[in-house]
Amino acid sequence: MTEAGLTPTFNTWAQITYVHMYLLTVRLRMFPQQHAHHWHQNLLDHYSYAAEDRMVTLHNIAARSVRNKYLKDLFVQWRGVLAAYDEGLVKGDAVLATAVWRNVFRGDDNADVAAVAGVVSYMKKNLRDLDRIHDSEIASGDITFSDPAREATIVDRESQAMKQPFTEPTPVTAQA
Amino acid sequence: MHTPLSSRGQFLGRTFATTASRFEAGKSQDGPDASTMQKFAQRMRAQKQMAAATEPYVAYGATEDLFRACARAGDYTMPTVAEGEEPLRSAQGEDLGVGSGWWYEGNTLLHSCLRYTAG
Repeated sequence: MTEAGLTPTFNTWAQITYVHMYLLTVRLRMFPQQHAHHWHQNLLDHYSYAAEDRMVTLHNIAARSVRNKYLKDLFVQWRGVLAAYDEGLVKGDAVLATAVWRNVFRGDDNADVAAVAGVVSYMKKNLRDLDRIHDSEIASGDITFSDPAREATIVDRESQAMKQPFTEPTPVTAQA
Repeated sequence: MHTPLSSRGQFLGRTFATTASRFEAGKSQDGPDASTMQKFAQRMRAQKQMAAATEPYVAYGATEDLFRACARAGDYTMPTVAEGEEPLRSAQGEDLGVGSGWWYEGNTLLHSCLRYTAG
């Protein structure tokens, strides 16, 4: 499988980080209800600190007002990503793939579909892995994500659905 | 020098000393090792009220490590630009960094959106 081949920019970093934060957020929702919100909020806070730090140290954005404007925009993006990936999780891999393509691959026509599928497969694997570990392990802060290159064998395998007959959807007749 | 009355008093005297003399008294003894402190912290957190009070702090520290794990894959560096030279930018006008690993390797997108702003 080909690698993702993304352009190393601030926004790409943000999107790759969002993917991982999303995987963790899904797991944090399983924490006791009275505690979960602390974890969501703190995770997002650490993201904001890191993003601002990156703006200063790597991109020379000295003006605080400019950084705040970007941070506000990043927060809106995060809300969008949450909604898009949640929709993908509920509706299936194809919908999740469109969300990954729009956000991580920026809707680029030249994006490699195998790489997009690789990210979807990677997300599903890590969601499953995080689901299997105990709350206390997550709370210790010591987690690792798998190697996305390992998804190649799954992505290359032909789907069972490809062999099934394709049925035309029944046209819906307008009700008078 | 104070002589601690009990091992429990000694432990508390060292950890939560309120006066200089008590602090000194505690210091002269061997302090609790890391595992003792961990057990103590766990015992405190097992109490309902303490758990509620400590949760925001525990969450703050742990999410810092969790976030670090999340941000690792997308990490990149910025090449140093010589004075008078324009930094390399993407087609969208963003600063172009250098990254490695599965997410950045492969050249499916890089060449389609590269351009120089100088010249």
